[in-house]
Amino acid sequence: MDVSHHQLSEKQRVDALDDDALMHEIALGNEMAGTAFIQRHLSYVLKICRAKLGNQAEAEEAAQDVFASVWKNAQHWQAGQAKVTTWLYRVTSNRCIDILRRRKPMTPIDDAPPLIDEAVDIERHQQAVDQNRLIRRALGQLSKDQQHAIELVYYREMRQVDAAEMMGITIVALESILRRARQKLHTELASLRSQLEMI
Amino acid sequence: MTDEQMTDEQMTAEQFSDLISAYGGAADRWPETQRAAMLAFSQSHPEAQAIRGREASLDSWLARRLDAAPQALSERIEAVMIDALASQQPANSANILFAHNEAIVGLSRRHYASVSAAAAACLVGGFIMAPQLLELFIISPDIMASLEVFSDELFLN
Repeated sequence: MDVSHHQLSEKQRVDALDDDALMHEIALGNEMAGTAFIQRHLSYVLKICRAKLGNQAEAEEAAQDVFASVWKNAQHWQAGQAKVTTWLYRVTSNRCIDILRRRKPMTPIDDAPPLIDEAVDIERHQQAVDQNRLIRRALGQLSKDQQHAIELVYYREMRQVDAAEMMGITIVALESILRRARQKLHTELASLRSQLEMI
Repeated sequence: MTDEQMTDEQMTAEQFSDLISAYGGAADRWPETQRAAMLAFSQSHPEAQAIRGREASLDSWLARRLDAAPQALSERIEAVMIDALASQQPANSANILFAHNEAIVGLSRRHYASVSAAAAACLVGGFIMAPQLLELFIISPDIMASLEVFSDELFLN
């Protein structure tokens, strides 16, 4: 029990680190930091890859290569020289270009995305990652039942009768759980509002 | 009432508030049997529109949660990460600790020679002293005699 409590504390510590500190921990060999980095950035890296490559298989291949690059370069990372998300976006973009050129070897340079779009994309990436972290943190404050109900009704857009059946409860009980969950989310997000609005 | 079609006249402000605080501001998530009544109620009651706006604001924040990546992909990337970190030498502040551990675990050739010599001396001394040491314990006289012969032969030869 002491080991799992320690692991939970370490996970909480690592989850709260900013990207520079996370890279430093990865360079020290901290696997939990590596896992946190994956959880934080993989969704958006994959989203970028899907958008640029148009198919899931190549997007996953590109994402794997991007993270391989992270492990390789963490030891050389200098905090303050660049933002992690900026660097990560460039690595992702370059890897996607490599894969596109593998498909079409003579891809003209003119087809490269203009720099101004890239800057906007990088900023969107940072915003998306930060907002995702805060939303997931708020959702993490809910009870397991509340998380389950929100997942089924909100994110999977399941009908109430189907969601209630899956959870083994009545529709009235489901609505009660959802009501308490959403009220708690209002409270959590209100307390995070200053952070959310800065993002 | 929940399983029947409701009309605007039948819906109360409390019922509307209860439903919308459970399902949010988007009509497509409202229960099918109450959707029309809720829409009509919200359109005819300004306070209902304010409640709907508040819930829609929460919905827009929830929508910013990024879809989790496929579990299999996460696991593959994590496996590569574990291998990569295990094969890399820790950087910066950890190097001192790493070097210190290496010094403890990795003995030099000179140290190995010294330890080996000491061990050999202990072994020989133990053979010679064995009979005397064993006399401290209960042991058969025949076995004692055999051990003394053995140690004498070893020493003399």
